[in-house]
Amino acid sequence: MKSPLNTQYQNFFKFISLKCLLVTSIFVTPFCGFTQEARVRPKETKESPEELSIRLDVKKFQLKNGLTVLLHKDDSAPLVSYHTWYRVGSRDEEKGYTGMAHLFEHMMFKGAKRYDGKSFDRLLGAAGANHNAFTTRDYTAYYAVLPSNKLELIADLESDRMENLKITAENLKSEREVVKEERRFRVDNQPRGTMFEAIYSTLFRSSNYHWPVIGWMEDLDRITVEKCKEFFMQYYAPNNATVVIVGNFDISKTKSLIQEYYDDIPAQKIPPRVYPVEPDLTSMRQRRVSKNVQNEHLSVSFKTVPAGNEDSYSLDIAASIFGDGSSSRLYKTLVYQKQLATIVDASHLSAMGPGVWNIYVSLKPQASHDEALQSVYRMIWDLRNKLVTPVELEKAKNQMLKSSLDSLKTVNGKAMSLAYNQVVLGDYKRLMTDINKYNQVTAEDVRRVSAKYLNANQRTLVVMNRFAAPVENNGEGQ
Amino acid sequence: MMKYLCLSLLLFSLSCTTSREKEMKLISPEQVKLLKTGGDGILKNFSEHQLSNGLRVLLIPDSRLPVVSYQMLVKAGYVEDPVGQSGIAIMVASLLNKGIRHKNANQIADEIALKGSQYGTVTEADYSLVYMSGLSKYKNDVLTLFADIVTSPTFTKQEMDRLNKQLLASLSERSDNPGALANFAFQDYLFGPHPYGRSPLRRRQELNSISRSQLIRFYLENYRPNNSMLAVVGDFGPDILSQLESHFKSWTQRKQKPVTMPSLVPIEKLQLRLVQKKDLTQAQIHIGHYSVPRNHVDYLALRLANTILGQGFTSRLVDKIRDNLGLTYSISSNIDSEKVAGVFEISTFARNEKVGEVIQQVLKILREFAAKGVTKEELENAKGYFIGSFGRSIETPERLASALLGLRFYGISDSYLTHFEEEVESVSLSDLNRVIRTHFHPDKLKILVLANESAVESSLTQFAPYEKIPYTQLQ
Repeated sequence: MKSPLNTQYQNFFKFISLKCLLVTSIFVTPFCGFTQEARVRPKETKESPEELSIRLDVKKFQLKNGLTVLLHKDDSAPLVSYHTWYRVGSRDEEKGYTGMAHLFEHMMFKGAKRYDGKSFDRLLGAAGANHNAFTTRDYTAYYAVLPSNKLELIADLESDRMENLKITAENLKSEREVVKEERRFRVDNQPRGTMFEAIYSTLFRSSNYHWPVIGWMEDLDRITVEKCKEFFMQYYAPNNATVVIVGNFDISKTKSLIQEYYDDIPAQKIPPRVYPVEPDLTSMRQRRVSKNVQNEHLSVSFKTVPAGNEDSYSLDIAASIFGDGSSSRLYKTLVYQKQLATIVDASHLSAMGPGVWNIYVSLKPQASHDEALQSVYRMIWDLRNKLVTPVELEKAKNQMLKSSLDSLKTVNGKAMSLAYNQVVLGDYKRLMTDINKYNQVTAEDVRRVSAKYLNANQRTLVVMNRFAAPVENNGEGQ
Repeated sequence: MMKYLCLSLLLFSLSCTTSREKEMKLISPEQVKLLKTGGDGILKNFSEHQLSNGLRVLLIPDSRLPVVSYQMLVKAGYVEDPVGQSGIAIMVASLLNKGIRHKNANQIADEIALKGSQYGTVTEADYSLVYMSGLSKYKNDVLTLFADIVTSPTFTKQEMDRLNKQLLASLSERSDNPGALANFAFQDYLFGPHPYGRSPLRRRQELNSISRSQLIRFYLENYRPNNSMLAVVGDFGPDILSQLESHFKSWTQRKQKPVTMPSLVPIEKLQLRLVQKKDLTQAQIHIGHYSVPRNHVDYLALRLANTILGQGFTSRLVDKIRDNLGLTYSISSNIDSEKVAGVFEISTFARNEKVGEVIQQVLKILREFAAKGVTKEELENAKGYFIGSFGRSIETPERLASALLGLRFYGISDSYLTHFEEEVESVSLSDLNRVIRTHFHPDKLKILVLANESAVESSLTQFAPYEKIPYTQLQ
């Protein structure tokens, strides 16, 4: 009686890390949008994706303190989704204090000036809200979906913690233990979590993407109340935040409401962001992780381009053709024909910094690593040297269109898409302008980007081997 | 899957315009029987019909997005698996799209992807669900494929063997994932030999004993229009009923045997089982007992009570064990009700050295909850949560359709949706505390711990003598 759709259990988590981080970057592709009536319709005349017309009615404004606000009215249900995204993530952390952004996200639920932590949760709970937050490498997002007559409540709560967060030693102490438990759950005792930590830390050496969002275990102990306060002052400022509201509300009244609650929060000087650049690989990197597993895992990854880069659309399509679903090349070869693997996947994990084009294979017990790997390498060679078929291309485009449409079914999906485009791509209008970029991708584009980014000497191979003795993965330096 | 249906609790009118009257004119009345049209409010766009082969069809038109979806619920859950042969129900559901007339598995996968479709099946205790969605510009192709998958799968030997190997590997994968392993282990422990203890997949030897003829027999007995319900949602167009009639006309009825279930073995005291797995640095903990079936009169009150105990950030369990003591990242209690029984279950995880403390604290909270009940304020907050989250639970027509399928399956009136708010408001504090006293049993329950034995052993003996099994017995 367990369910993969057990959403109540999922909602329980205040943090959606690796797994959902991946989902986020796929789920919220810039390839989606809606018209004024929140309708997305192909033009009547011709049924082809090229004809899809998408318009979007968004009211955007900025307060004097720099807070960016997007409002989109959708009256199909008496609900409102309220997102607050701060442009700070694990890549903004200092070495030695990794996990700061995520641990801080937990502290945001522990109370401010007008509302303490218990009343924050109680008020939202009694309103029937689904509220939560997640931290990524680039940004930290807080959201609530609640009845639209509770809009003022959430504006009050969110502005209170943006301005007046209370950070106490006692709260930090217990929340640190919660996060360590979260780390043991998501990374140390989960083969996939362990693998993704290894993939990023091997592929990135200079970049701040080297360390996991949840941080190294030993760094969590170094984070102090003073560090938290400093982090709050630096990054939790209106001029580093974007508020997105989608739902059933009056636009002009909501604008006044936002001004009322946020106008007096002072702007801060945000430190300049200078991130270490990750040089291109010149030879293949390898890492082996040992764990007491029955099914071994392997992953081949490549560093690519930031989200929104011209090549990113073709790389997304390439990943879809290569390894998305049971119609993909990877599935047909490794799962269906050779029967070497149980789960396979290829995805282009985009970010504000370099993206990762990742192939992931969960092998069957006793299946040969070498055979699977040689197959993967041959398929990469094909992608780099031969054109994908017209049917494969159309399939990938239709799949992307459908998943984009699915992400617009709810007010929360819409708010998330708008926030992602505004914060990560710099302009919510990318929702509309980017849609045709996927449709313009040709077979030659797929071959060209594959040849450019998926080179043998630029790949990173991570393998999880079966090993009977318990092995702790402690991260850095391994 | 239970949550999928139960979650869709409540109501609102979604502002989509439809043309139900027009649809009806296209169908001759002797072909399709109109069972129900929606009234005011949340069900206004909903209608229910019966095809001439007996299949009940729920329709919710919605043209805001150019997509369409089908959900077919078939009363063919894993409780139908013969004793010692768990896996038949899930194998049948998984093989539906692995071969139909004129198309093999890869051709079907290609077509699903090409139409922008998503496809999946879920097998639960009492039913299986087949789901398919796609872009509405391909709606005719999507319906044709969906109908073929449900009504004419071929069950080839080759695909069956392939699936068997795949499922064996997924049993190993379950053992590598502590959360999934503990979920299975608890269900197995709680229900023992009762069919609800089976899970879709149990053990290797059971899976290996299944023959192709058993799969075909299971399909032919259970996958019948009079044993199924279909919900169609989205931009499906005005002539959907005549299309359904023609696509499903060759699918014929068969008399269904009533399901008989043995009674549950009573739990008389606190019982404890340790599943050992050496490499774990964190223990999985499940604590619970049986609960009421879905159609029980106390179900709603019980869910309100459970919310106060262990759902959400302000619940008693989260407040104490996560927020105040920092012992875990996640703890929750759930009531999961099926056709003839349910489960009350608290689940959490903690580092090995804190296992004793976590169990102690949970039992303390549960005993106090069962003995003293809840406060007026807690009840009001829980009601607020239920009423406020109702809009979200039926925000999309697909969620509404799932809720309606669930109500019909469990034999519950649609007034559960249309009068949800009144029903919630009508629960009094004394009702709720009576329900708590009746349905929570803190000293007659089972505790399952999945951990490295040497790290937790000394902290477990304080609760009860415990039995231990190696995790390899669970695969």
